[in-house]
Amino acid sequence: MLPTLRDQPAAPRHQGLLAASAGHRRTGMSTWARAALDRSEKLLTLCAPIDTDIASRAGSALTALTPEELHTAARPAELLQRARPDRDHGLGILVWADAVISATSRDTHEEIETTLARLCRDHRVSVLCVYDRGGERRRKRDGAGSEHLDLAVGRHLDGLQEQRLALHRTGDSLYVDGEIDMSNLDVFATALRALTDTPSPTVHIDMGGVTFLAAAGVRTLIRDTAPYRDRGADVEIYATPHITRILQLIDIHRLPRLHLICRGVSTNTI
Amino acid sequence: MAIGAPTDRPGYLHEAVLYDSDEEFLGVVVPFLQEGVAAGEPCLVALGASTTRLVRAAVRDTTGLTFLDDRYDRPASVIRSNRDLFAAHVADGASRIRVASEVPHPGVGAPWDGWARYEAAVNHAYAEFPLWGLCAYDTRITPGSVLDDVARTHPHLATADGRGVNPRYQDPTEFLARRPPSRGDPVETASPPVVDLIDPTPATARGAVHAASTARPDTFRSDPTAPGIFQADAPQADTPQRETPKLGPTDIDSLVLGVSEAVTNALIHGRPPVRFRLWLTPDRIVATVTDRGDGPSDPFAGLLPVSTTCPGGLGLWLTHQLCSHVTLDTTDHGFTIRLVVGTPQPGRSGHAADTA
Repeated sequence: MLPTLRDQPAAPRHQGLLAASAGHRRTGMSTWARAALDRSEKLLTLCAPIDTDIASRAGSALTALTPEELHTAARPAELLQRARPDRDHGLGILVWADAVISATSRDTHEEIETTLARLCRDHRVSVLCVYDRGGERRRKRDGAGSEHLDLAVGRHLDGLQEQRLALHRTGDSLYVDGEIDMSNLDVFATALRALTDTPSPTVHIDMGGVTFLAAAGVRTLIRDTAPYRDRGADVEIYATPHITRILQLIDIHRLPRLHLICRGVSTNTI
Repeated sequence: MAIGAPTDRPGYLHEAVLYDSDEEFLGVVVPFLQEGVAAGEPCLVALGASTTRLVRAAVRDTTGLTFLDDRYDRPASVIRSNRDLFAAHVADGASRIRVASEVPHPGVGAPWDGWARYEAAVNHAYAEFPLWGLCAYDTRITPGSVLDDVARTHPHLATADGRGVNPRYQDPTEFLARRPPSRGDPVETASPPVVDLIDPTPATARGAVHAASTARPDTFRSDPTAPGIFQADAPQADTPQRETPKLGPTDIDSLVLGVSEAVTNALIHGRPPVRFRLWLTPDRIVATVTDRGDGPSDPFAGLLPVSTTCPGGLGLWLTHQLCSHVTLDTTDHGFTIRLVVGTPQPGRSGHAADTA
């Protein structure tokens, strides 16, 4: 029996949210900000408007940052010194990525993401970066979303939450939870490309938390791991019996270097 | 009767035998199998229970025969598993494979639309195999409209007196493109749908299937807005409780996938508005998804294996693999896909010829 990939969930530190609408964005930000305050963290915002009740609850524990303060050129120690009156409690930083990019540039925002990743790694800092998925009408038409999806996926390995899909990465393992359909195929595809952009000889895709997989999602799974498999590397997929049944019908386990494992049992020999 | 195949051409020889007595049935099928056994050819028997008994009793020695029981459940699944089976025999060195088979139709209580499409589609789907397939139809119980389709989908005909080319055979593409409208499920006219959504997202449609299918049929029996099928099926006070639906989580998962794929296809390829309706009965769930578009352009859509690398078709093929019954209809008003899980019903007879 193979060890399950879900034994060691990653601590949620540097997370992303793909907001389906303005309402989803507002709710996501408020929920996260309240949780940060519940943890007695000092709340920092970057281009992220928050509800007045949260602002009044935070009081002096709330600071609005400027992009410059999170630029890679800025010294993290200074920011932490200034922002943390009480060293025992951590910092919570809430970022609306699209507003940051509008106010500065995509390059600047990428640098800010780098700074945030470093802060999360080295200090008691948790971060939520919110990326917009674009208007309802646009997504309905082409199923596409955020034009900065690569950043949202590539920079938030600790957890990326979409309306119906949650992803997180640990090394060469990708954990997928929720539903995969036309509304988030692009997110899944981007995550697969990011996962397989590695010199490692094997990657793992844990779909144990996937409750629905559309046919187009299976195609994505095949297509977006193909360049990696073509280089001679292996992809291991862990799935529930229901998802395994779908994948087996499509003969995915007969594709080269694609291994399907259902509840610890390899189906390649079935 | 004639010995050997009516043609020496390699590939699939698709032949029908229409019989009206057990003697006539055995007179064609038994020599067909025995000649195959004598020639060392794999001989597969995929007949119904009663005709299988006839064959077993008539041949006595079943050496060389492979009996495939309960094989004909879903047209697309049969195509998939038969292709695997034939490929394995060819890999084993078979120069010809013989199959005697029967497919379900309203005469045995099953819907026909899917099997009509099957009988046409296999002319393509099995073309690459050195296969001699003999399809048996009992004219005593087979509806006239079915026999009409049989005549148009089998390029060869066999009788106890001999074999020959069938002049009424139609090109499968033409046959499939000109199908008459499928029979609706009786529940569609007997009661209002429990779900009726216009332009749902795939996620909304999936949620509606889950919500509806977890509701107990009893709930609907007492619902005055849902008369018809549930009341008709309600047990009398002094009779034992009717067995609850034989629908399991796998059926629900299958329908959820089928509905989601249908709505996705309608949104991407069809024309709005997209209407999704669902009916519940104690032994099956029926769903229809309609849009104003033309439906799939491929007449074999859903039945033939699709490439996993080319776009399109995979969702419809999966739906055909997983749902008990699938119909596709294009009319002047648009396209409708009907999905049934559980035990599908033959549907209302729209043909006067259907008095067998």
